[in-house]
Amino acid sequence: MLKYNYFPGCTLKTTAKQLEISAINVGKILGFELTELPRWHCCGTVVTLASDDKIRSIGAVRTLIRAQETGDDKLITICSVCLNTLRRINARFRDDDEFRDAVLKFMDDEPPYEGNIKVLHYVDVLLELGLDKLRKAVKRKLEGLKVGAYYGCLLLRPAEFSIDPNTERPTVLERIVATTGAEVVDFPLKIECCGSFETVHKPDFVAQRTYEIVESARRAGAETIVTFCPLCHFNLDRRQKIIMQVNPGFKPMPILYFTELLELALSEEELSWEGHEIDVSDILRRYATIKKEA
Amino acid sequence: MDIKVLKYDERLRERIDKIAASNFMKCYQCGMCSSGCPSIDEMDILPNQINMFLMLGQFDRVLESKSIWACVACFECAERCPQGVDLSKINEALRQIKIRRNMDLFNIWEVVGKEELPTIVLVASFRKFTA
Repeated sequence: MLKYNYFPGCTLKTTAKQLEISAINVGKILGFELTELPRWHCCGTVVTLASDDKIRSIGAVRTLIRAQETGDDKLITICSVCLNTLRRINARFRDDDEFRDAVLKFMDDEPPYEGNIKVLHYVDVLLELGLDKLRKAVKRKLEGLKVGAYYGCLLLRPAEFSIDPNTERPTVLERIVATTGAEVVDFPLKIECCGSFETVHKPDFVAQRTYEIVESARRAGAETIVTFCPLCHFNLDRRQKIIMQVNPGFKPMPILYFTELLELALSEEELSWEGHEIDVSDILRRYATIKKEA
Repeated sequence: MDIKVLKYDERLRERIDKIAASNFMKCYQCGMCSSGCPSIDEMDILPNQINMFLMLGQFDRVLESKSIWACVACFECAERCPQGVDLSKINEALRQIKIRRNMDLFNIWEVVGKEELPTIVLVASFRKFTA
């Protein structure tokens, strides 16, 4: 079985457990294993954009050193924010001499990072396997399910670190969704920000963003939105509750993790998806049997 | 518009330039950043106006604006700017200048504990908005 070094990050261990569980399950079905780094550090959550702030990049560099120690040059992430942070810090370490020197001096008790780790996203692993393999592995064809794939910001921007070379009209997620037999729905706000961490002190603003994104997908014909980002999922899922309070006529839309959709199509098992505010059982029931709590 | 010509604070300009490492002087006010910004509803001056006031040396007007706190660095402006100005970095520099003077945008204890929030948003939010 193919094995990849895997960096989960904080949120896949807390509020987005289902993203990790489904991603690992899908890997097993497709023949690859995500091996969690034996020790890892917070990526820093958001990359620091202040050029004179180096200390907040240390966590990411430590994680890259942990990956280097395994002898493999690839590190897989699932979370969009971790991907963006690790890729940017990795690139800065390679390109910015002053930054690299300062970081290496600060971390001189660690084996020096050589800058050779390739930070990959789960999507890169799927593409490496080949979409044909994915298509052939489908057990439950998701015929009739209308799916909008949501990128948000950090899977695409800055372009240098994007999972798709076309950052304005990306198609990579849609191509993967299409392998499941589901109907792909393209919608204009799929590349727009969900409001991100403003959700902490301005939940109403994020609810407004969520409303615009969900309605954009609905107008295009989608009945569900899938996303890779644990933060986008939280906002699009939870903040619909605020919309429902303000606008009783609003029809909630289930928001799935991207890997849950793949799990639904690839697995033959009974499934249960935890951690959703908006009920997802209708979609689950249509194609699979819901696993009862033990 | 009310534009005052003030004494240009060269030290503050250098500080913004140093932290941001992106030159706002290259902006030619096309407005591309403002047309794509998803946070515009929460702003009192538009993204292109942030650059405009900086070019005019009206630093306080920008530092006291709501706009610098509404930016969540989604990089739409930075990606689309024909002049390669990275407004997400400039906003970070402006926030940093405030935060390094020991400023908190909100009281952490008033937002924590109300609901279960993802670790990621708590850490990101405290890093961006509090000293």
